[in-house]
Amino acid sequence: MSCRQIETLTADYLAGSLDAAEARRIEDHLATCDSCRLELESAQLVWDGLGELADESPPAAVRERFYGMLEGYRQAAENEIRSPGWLERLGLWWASWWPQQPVRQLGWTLAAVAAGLVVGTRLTAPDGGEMTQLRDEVAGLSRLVGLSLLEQGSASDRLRGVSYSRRGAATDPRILETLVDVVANDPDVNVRLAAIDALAAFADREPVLEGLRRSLPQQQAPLAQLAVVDLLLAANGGESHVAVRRWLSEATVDETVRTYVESRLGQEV
Amino acid sequence: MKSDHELMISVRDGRVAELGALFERHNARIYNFFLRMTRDRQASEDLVQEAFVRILKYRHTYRSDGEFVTWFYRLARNAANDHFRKLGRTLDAVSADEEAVVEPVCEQDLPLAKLESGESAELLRTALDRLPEDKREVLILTRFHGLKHEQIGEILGCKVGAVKVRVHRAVKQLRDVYLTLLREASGPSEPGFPPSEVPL
Repeated sequence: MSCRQIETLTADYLAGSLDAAEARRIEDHLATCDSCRLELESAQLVWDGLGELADESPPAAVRERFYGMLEGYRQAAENEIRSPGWLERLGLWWASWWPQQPVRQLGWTLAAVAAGLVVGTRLTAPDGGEMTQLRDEVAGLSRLVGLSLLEQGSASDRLRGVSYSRRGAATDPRILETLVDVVANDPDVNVRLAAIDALAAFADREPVLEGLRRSLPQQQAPLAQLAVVDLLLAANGGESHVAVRRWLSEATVDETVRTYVESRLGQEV
Repeated sequence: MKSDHELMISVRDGRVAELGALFERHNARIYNFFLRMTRDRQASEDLVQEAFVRILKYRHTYRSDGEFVTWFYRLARNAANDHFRKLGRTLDAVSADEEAVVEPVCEQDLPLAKLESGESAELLRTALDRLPEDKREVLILTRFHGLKHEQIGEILGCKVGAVKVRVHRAVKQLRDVYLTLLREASGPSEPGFPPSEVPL
């Protein structure tokens, strides 16, 4: 065993994680090399000395703050469960209004069908203006549903919200703002990825790019990091490139992500 | 008694009260991690709070096949990193000599026996504080938190071999800084020691 090999085994030697064969090889080497023996002995003394440094007890305030935070979080979560969204409120209203007896339900259904037939036969088909208005109203409703779903507690609801929001994003900057906000703040990585995907069609818009640049340091999940970087670099703007470079130099990034982003940046250059 | 992993799965699935058990198990360790990293009690208190807030914030990202300790230390390290970033520093500023070859040094008559005294323990604590943050961090994780090199590699995002090299170089530098401090404290009559790498 060479002196260089001893160096690579020092950490295991100190941690006591060498297997018997490696430990014996080290002992054999130390018996013949004063330099390594002194090196390892001094390292061992420092290592043992570190073990003598006592921990401090956290102040009582740490515990108080934690349980205060946890209680606040639980209450907020419970309130979220207790206060239904507008879709749920609509469902509750409908349930309270709709009769429970099957006979009455059948009666109301037949009455509604009859009323529909009468109205349908008496009214003329809507002209172009009415159709446009109707389309706008449907789009508005879609936007409302999408935005409302994005505020829901469950990730699957918010995913549906992203899906709804896609439809109105082209015409409504508020939807784009909301999707950018989702990318930055939603706790669920799948929702964030869906929002990034929805924003891909609008990556030529500066407010979207700016939002994505701001959200990049907040992304912890490698997949979300890659998706945001891809979108920013695809937009081919100087500011986005600078932002990605700065993020890469500052952030704690998974090695695979770093390698990929460096290669993308290299290609762009 | 539930394992950390089982508790974290419960927290992830919405039973957030279980976080209390994780707090009781880990708050002292993580407080001391932050304290040794920042040398600032108030900042360490804040960072403990921030680390547990991040557990709640990112609980959806905890994997069923994950390991709580490495996941938690990654969150804690990110919190520390954000703290250092505000101060204009970063944990990832690994020394430029990371991959450089360090030749074994031959020292004679090292005054390390003095480590046993209380005064020397204080000097060692000062020496630890004076290490660059990346070296201090790897020593803290391996010596004070008993984490395996594989776990540290996962936390730091580097290979196990690189962790071992960092530990070796951190111990070596700590010893040199300590000896310099000891020589200064002992006055000019103490035997001289040529530090190989002293960042003072």
